[in-house]
Amino acid sequence: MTDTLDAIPLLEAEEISKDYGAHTGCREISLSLWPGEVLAIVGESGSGKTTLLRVLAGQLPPNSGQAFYYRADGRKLDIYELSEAERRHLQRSEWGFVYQTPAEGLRMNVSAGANVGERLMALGARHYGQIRGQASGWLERLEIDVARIDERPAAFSGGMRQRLQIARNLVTNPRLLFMDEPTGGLDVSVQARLLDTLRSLVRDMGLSVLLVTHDLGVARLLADRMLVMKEGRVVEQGLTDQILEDPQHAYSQLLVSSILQA
Amino acid sequence: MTTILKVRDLAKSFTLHLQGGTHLPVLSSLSFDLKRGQCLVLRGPSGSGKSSILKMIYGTYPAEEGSIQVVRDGGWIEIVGAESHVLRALRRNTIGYVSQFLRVIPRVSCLDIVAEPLLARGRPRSEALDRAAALLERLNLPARLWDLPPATFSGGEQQRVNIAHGFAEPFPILLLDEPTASLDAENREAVMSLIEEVRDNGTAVLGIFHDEAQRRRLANGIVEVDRFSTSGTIPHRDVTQPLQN
Repeated sequence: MTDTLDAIPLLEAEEISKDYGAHTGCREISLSLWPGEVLAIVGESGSGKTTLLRVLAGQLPPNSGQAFYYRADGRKLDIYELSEAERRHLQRSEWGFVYQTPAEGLRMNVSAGANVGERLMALGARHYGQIRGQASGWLERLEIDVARIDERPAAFSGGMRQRLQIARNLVTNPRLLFMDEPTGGLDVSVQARLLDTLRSLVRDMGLSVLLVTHDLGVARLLADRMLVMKEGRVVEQGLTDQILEDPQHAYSQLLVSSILQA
Repeated sequence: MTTILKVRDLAKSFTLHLQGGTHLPVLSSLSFDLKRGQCLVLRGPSGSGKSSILKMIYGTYPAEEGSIQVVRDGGWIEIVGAESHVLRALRRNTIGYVSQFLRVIPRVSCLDIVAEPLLARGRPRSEALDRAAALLERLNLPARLWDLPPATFSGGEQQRVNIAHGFAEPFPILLLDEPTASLDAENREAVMSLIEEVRDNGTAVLGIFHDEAQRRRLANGIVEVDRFSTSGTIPHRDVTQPLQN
């Protein structure tokens, strides 16, 4: 964790726009993500949150705008100028992406252990025993019964599948994790336990996170900072306590007034 | 004594968009300096914006006008309009804050809550937990509660967890919002001695205390905060003054 005020961001986006024909995804969005920071992108469905996340993660090309990633070795990468191979390497090493639907981020027809080991193999690991050892270590860390290492994710509950997807992403010690509604669709008690796990992992690993959620309760628990989106644009951004206690924009005030005080 | 916090012409109002844009002025033209080792008390009627002043300095409320500058690494940093990562860095090492009530994080134990600022500064976990335990003990929180999340605790117990969290690490500037309001006499005394200790060690304290005896004991200056006059006049003066009587 860095403490100089002029620290270098991890990710920087300038004027990113993405539309689908007449339908707007996101418009003219600029943001910086700082090392060790959890930034939540909040807003209702259709506000462009997921589009923005996928564009920043290099999964979709923007119509205009630029985004830069500062690698662990200090090199500044232009995300949209990378070759396909370079981008894939980044996505499997220093980045992770957790989808709302685990089936999107997992291989459903191979074992839990193989799911976790895949990124290691993609980065060149070949020793079967070591890969399996690391995979079982990560299953344990995500509180998945190691005895189930040879089962396919199809046999897992929704909460366990999500934990497996997270283990699969963290096995290469990424610096930046993109998460799209990681606790959406889970029962509240399962969601609560997963949030606790995520919070301690983020702190212990010093991860930087871009988190898309429509749930301000999730943002309040995990995020240092929030970015409020409406109709493809960022209407307000600020520290989580600022947005929750003194929202400035009419739409942020509406969002905050809609959650239960706790 | 060296000035480490400068507040100039500070103004704040709230615009309630969901209530037809109702405009609520809170304060205006507030200026004062806070010096190292000084304890200033914000004094004024309820609703005059005392808590809002602390929240603007901490970055929770965006100020509407004016400037709040704080010394960091020998230079002045502007808080009004500062970027989030600057505010976060200031919160980690420069400005501490004890709110009126504990903001309970579900399922996190007392010890972990108090250890959090220590871990954020990179201390080893065992050292952070030791320091957390020592503080909770000093604040008379029974050890059987330390491993429990404080959601079900009494107001006074929660507040002591909150105070231990705020005092876990030393800060050059400490903001206190009625820290002893929900405490009995014995625990109030424990907190008062903690505040005196950090003040005497050079921390600049800016606080809200309703009890006159507490003010007399802690403060070496008063900032008068008048209720905002609805006629639109400017009620605030630069009124850092030595405490009399």
